[in-house]
Amino acid sequence: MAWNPWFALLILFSTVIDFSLAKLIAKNNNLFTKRSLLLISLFVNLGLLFYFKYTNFFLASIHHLLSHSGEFKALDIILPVGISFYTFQTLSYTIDVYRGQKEVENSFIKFSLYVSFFPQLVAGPIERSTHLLPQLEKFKYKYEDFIYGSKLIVWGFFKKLVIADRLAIYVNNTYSDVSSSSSLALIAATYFFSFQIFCDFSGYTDIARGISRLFGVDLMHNFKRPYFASSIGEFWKRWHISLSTWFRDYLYIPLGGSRTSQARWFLNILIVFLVSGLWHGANWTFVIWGALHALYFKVEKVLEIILPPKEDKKASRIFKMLFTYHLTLFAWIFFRANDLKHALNIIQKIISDFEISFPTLSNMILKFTFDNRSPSHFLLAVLAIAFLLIIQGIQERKKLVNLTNRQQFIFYAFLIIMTILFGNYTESSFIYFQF
Amino acid sequence: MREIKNFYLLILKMIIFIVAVLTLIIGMKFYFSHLLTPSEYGLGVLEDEDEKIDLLIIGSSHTRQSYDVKIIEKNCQCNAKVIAYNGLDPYFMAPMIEWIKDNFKIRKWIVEAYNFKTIAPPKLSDSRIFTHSPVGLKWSFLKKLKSINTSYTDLFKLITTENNESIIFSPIENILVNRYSYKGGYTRKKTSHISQEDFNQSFKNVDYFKGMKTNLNQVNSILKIKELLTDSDVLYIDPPMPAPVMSHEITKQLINDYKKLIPNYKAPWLNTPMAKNNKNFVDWNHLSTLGRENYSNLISTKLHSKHKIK
Repeated sequence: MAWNPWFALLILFSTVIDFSLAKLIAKNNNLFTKRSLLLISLFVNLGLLFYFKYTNFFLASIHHLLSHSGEFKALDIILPVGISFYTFQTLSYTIDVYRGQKEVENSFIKFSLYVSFFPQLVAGPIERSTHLLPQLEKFKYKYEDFIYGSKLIVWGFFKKLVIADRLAIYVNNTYSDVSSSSSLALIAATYFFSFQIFCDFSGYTDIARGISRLFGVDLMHNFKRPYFASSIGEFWKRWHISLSTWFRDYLYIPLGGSRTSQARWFLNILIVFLVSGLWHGANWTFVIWGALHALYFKVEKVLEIILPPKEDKKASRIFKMLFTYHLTLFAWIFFRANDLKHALNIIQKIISDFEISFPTLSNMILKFTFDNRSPSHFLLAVLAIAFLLIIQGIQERKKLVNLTNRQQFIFYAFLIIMTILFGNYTESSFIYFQF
Repeated sequence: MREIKNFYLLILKMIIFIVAVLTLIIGMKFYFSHLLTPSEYGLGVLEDEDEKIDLLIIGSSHTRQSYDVKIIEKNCQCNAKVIAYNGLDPYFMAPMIEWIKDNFKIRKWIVEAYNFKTIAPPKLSDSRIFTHSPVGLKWSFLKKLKSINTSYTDLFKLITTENNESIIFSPIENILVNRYSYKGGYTRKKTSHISQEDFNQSFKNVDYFKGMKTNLNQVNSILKIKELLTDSDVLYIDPPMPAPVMSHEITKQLINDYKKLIPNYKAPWLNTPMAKNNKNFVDWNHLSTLGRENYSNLISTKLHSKHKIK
């Protein structure tokens, strides 16, 4: 991931291509011509994505398949910032126009703004033209939007600086040194990573949505308290919603969705999750992460057929939530690991060295900082996670909206003060910037 | 327009509220943070002004890794303490020594004479020094920081954001820290040793200092310390480093420079077998647990016999 001024031409190229092709698609009545134009759009956009993101991965995989000796020399290709996001955004527009779900946009400036709308350009949410384009007609400044936007920004920075970046210290420190980390430290790091990635990505999304809201633009929700999901299916309705709905609408349903044979259905699920994994990065770890989710999802669906779900009691829902969370937790190991060997090392170490004693517990806590000096970093991280879960639990019950203006004022002032006092201000970017 | 005005008004109220609360919190932190220092660590070891301290060892992590207070106390039959903070250099050590000298009764001092510190620019590497200091010492540090043109951002961070976790969790953290420390030195923390290959190559770390010139702030601070402490009451000791590091030209030159400043500079381990054994070191400038035990036995014997510390 990097920035180079020349890459601005890339986004301009993508914008011009899709703007022009969509116009031609809208003008043409011939299905064959329309389809050909759509294929050109797909070829250009996915071609760019493939070249910049997957060339080295593809060549390395072929190299390893054909010969086991010699080291693969990667080509010097830099991944342009945000390419995975804006490519999908422009593609969705062209497909919607092709399907007749969206009228063609006549203003190139407006369309360019839709593709490059700065708050969400780098890491989403991946907006749909049907949702974002109409809002770009005229910016409206409303008091309620200022307030709502500011609240989102404050909450987003709190999640990123106080929780995600603090947890990152522990996770990076532990995952980069598997051999000298205890099983317990690796387990703690995996739990922490699940919250780090959530707070990092949802924190970014909140900031992006908040900034947009200041302009009166409402970006789509990307997260709805995913760790409160009681099934994998529900998890994907709550996690990275803009991507999962994109895959649902533009890949899963065109493949036939669930209205097909059992075998084909499973294949469709597998394809969607594998592609979703690969979308995150050119690494087999992401493929395994996607495959695991496909497996979880399918098993869940089969179980639903064998044992039809009854009305949830509170205890059973909590059990299901914890079970679902731990399934996703296991998959996060692959998502975070540098490569497959690293992931397997972590799992092996967790299983083979598992032991609970005072020395392993205190070593786990002392490992939190690079110079082993302050266990309080660990304690604060645990407290911050607890605070997040409490707030999300309240949000889940929709009680936060009932706070009076004064209570809300104090709550958000508290968040700002906590961010100033407990934020981690060492330089770190957002995890999803690399995708 | 009115809505925008209302919004700005709300933001203004929020800013005033936050600044007021933050000022209160930071003020309390500035005045009371030293009360939450662990009793077995850093400045926390100096609790009772009437206590007679036979030996006070002061320095950086280099020092903390080098002295086992239990061994020294056993061999010398004395009351010894270590005050060590990561990267503590002469520039910040001087006001600390001045404050300790004014408030406590110390019979003998061992001041770390870490030769590389004479060329490193002054830096408050370990912000806990500031958090653990009483108000008077905090002001001294702030003055020193200002005189080396520390940015306002860094000063703000030091006063506002540093070590807040340690403060709010001090009841728990202090228990854990005290478990691993005894009178400022490590006790239970076990460290493995450097490999023979890394030991042999350890001199390469000294190349980092190539071309660096003597730092006047550090030199003046060393002279200030010399002025503060009576020669007969203090030993300036450079704790052990691997033999390949010590035989590097830069190190030799720095030791000579230090000797010109402080004639009674000591490196009592220099020609001993311990400097040549990789098992005594955890990296290129810190001792391992075994090295700490060996060195503490060596130094305490000398302290007992030559310097009559009892």
